[in-house]
Amino acid sequence: MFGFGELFYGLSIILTLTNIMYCFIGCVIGTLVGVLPGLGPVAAMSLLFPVTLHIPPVSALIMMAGIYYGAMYGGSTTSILVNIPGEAASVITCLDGYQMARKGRAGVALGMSALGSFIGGTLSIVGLQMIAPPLARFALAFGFPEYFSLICCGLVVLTFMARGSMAKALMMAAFGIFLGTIGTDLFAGTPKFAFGIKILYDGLGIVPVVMGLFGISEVLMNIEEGITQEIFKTKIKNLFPNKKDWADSAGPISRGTLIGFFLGILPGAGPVISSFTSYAVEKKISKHPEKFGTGVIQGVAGPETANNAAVGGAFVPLLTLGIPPTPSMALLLGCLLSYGVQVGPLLVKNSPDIFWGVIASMYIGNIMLLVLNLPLIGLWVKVLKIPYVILFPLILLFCVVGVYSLNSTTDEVILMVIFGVIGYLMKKFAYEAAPMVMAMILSPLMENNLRQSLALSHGSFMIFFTRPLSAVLMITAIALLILPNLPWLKAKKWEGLEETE
Amino acid sequence: MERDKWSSLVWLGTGILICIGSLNLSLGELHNPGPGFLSFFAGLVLAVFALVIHLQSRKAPAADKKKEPKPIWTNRQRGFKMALTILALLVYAVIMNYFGFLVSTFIFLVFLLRVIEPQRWSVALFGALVASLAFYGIFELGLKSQLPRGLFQIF
Repeated sequence: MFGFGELFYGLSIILTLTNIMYCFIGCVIGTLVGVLPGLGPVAAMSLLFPVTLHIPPVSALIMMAGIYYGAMYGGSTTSILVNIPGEAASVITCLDGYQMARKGRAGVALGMSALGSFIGGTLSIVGLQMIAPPLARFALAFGFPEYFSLICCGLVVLTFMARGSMAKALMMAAFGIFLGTIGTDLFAGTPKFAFGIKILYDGLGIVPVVMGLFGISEVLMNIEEGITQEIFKTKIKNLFPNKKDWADSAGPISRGTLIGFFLGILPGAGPVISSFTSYAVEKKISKHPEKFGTGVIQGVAGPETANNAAVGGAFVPLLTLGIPPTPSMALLLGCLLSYGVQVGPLLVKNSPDIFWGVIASMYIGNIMLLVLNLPLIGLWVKVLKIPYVILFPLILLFCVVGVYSLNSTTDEVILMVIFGVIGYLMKKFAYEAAPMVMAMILSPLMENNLRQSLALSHGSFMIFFTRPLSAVLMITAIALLILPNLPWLKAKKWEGLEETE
Repeated sequence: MERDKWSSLVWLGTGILICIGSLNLSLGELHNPGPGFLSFFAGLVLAVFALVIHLQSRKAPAADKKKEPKPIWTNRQRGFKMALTILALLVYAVIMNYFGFLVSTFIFLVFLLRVIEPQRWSVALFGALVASLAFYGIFELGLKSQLPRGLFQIF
């Protein structure tokens, strides 16, 4: 029961010197990019994407996963000590974390953040371990129409969860679908929107697009706006919370775990929305909501637990359906595909070493991160003192070299710069990049399943509504498109979150 | 909002161009969709929603227009530096093929450390040299990444 036998098999894979080393490297890099503002897990994973091509797939995935959940741990350090989020999922931690630091409780805030992250992260792996195998068995019944409907539903959920305008998110998803169609048509063999450019015949690469949209654009924003790092000067002591802190945090940690895990499964929600939702929920149910923002521990424990729990949740659709719910997961998918691993419901059966190896590595990784983030906190504080003047050329250089070394062509570097400019403009004009990237990645799968379904039904779109599972997914998608436009629900959407912001 | 009014027009144009391009690729038949089928609908959705946002932004009440958070480009000097960084990245990508990784990276970093965030000459030169060599060591020697060697085939 609960896959304990398989978990031991996974532990036998991770407990080798090489894999432990890759897990450790992933956790260290993850914490580092989490700590450093302006470099998130997506950019770091993109950077290491070319490196992973030289190592076995299990080790590559273990390292990439380590970066992802490691960044969630590291992000809080910057939020608490500098009042600048290390990465997007730690934005909300700034509110109470920094105030706690100002009151001389930086140690407790950092400690609770690490311990909450550990609890949320570990429990979400238990959830993943329990949910993923039965879900994968269920997904074996999926045909072309079900997959198409699932992708449509996923993209609509993604746009529904978008924090800005849903219309804008839908536009970005549509543009992403178009970007995903660039390349060579698999059925007719004709080039599509390649304009005679050699690198476009194989389709747009995920790495240059993601690095441009998330890495380069962030640096451009920072150059334009300027980053001022002022570390709150305080002695970090008493990392372990006292009894009262634990009593105050027990509820937020439990709720944060559930919120994070289940929101993490949804496309687009991921750690960012999970942390915001957790904060909003804690504020709503608190007897003293007015104290939020003044340095209450609940405002740190809940969101930090939720953003780590979301990581375990995000692995569920990736490992069972082959559908990535966040751009980071999309990179993991790209990594698996580059090895020729069949991602989807058959992954558990055909590649149990990858499936259980990654799950087991996450348990080990969370323990490593607890050690990295509690006793070694002083080291990360020193990292925070590196001036941005030194960091930004290095980040740019990492992006350029990372993209170049993928296919040894400068054309992809130019492509990355172009997407960097697009990403910068999208930030300026309030368009979210995540729906675009997700849609771009899912587009080839979507197109294949759409065309196969229509061929199967002799051109009738009713095939998506006559098969029960497909119909449920399609109706859910349509309902989600209509619901936010109903007047009485329009005002309700993200009311709590907006209040929080 | 003012910024939505103009950005939506760009997306509207993009959507229309995608639709035209898809039609040229052929939509095929419903039972046998062609290469332009999905991209046509993607372009259509993009154009329709861009039009909706454009119309909404034109209809926005005056109070909303006053609520415009802050101008898009706040600091002209820093904006110019940002534009220079983009240009430097593009030039760097091009010259890498001619001068090789080490030389072009050194020039690129000196430019960033002297022009974008001005440092002393000694800091810029020393920093650029150390960083170029470190990256060369990590990627070329350590990870065997095959960085460009340029026309002279040296580094």
